[in-house]
Amino acid sequence: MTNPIETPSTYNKYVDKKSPNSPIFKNCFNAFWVGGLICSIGQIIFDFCKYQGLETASANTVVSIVLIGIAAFLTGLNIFNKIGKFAGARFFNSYYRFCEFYCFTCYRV
Amino acid sequence: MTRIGKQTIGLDNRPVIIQTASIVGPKEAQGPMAGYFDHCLEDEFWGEKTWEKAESKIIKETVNLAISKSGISSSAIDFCFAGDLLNQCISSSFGLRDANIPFFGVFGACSTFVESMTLGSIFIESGAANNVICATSSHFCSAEKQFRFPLELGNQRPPTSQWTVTGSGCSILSSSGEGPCITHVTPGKIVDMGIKDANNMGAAMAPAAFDTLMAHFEDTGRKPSDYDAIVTGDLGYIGKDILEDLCKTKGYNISHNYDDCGVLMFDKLEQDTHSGGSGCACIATIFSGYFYKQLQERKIKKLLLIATGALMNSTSSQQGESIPGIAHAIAIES
Repeated sequence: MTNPIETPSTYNKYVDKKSPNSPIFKNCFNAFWVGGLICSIGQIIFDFCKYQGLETASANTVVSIVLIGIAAFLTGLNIFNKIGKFAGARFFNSYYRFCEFYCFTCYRV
Repeated sequence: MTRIGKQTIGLDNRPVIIQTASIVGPKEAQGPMAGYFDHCLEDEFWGEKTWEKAESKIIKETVNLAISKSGISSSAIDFCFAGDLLNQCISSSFGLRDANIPFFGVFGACSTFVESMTLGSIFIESGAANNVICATSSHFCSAEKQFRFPLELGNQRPPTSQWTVTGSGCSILSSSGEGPCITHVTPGKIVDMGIKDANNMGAAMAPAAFDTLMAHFEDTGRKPSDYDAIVTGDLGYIGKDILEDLCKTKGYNISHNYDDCGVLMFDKLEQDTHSGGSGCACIATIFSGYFYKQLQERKIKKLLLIATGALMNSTSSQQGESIPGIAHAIAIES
């Protein structure tokens, strides 16, 4: 067996071979369809608000309130973090952390 | 005390590990080692306002627990060697500020536990102390915040990343008494093989562990089969695999009696900890909880304990520096 620690460059190559890579295609695919699903839900809420006669600005606000509300509710049930892990997107997780903070604060009060 | 070979010290009077204590966090409490720890916390804060305060409380209570379990009074402890991962070692110095024991703050990253025990046993061997206490702590939340990204950012973790153990382990060494004793110490050299990925600590530290292990075998004339168990601190699955490979290049096969505390701490699949546990508390809690009991019951008679550390900080990572590794070894016999 050759010695992998002969030089830093041989060691780096050896480590690259030993270290599993992130499943980038799976992550991208999951982020794509979960993100798309959330956008679609938002669009449905938006269209419903418009149908009910709300102006665009108000409908946008309602979409945010409802989505954050759902996220906070799922966070309380300890489901949202699992979706965040599965969907694998940082922004999505930031959403979760915001909701976790929100729920934590409510819980404490 | 005799100097053996290049970097090993043989301890003729054999300092005794008379007692240990360990406290771990909630995630560790769900792991396969849970039953061996003295106390498992229900949440990461333990009634404190910050993670840093919680970590200080953990090390303070672990030290108190070890002293009360040992039955000796805290005034009989001559020196304390302690360290952690936070900037300027605040967890240990803040946690032990009321302990009223002469204090040495020690930093060797995750190798601090064995570094403390090395220094403590040499103090005892030299006659400078009768009883010393060695403790280290780490906390997942405070360590992630300092070394990688704030938890609130919710970053995704790559498969090579490790999970910093929340908890603290502590051992009391004494010049006399009952228990397993320390026979040799092999302080390690700094080894940097140019790894820059702060999410692949196992690979950064494995060459240092290899260097210390080879130095120990060369100095003492021992071989892997002379030990019932060879245990590294927190190389994780990837680092463990690399160390086994590296040993083969020198003709040593350690796979049958070698294990890593980072691998032992968590259930990889159930707990989603990727490459295993890490942190100062990883080896400290597993040794204090599990291996110390195995030594006492003489299920393991000869143990080589190698703590591994990555000597980087967040600034060095941001400036693109590579990660220097270090490993210290102690041989323990029951």
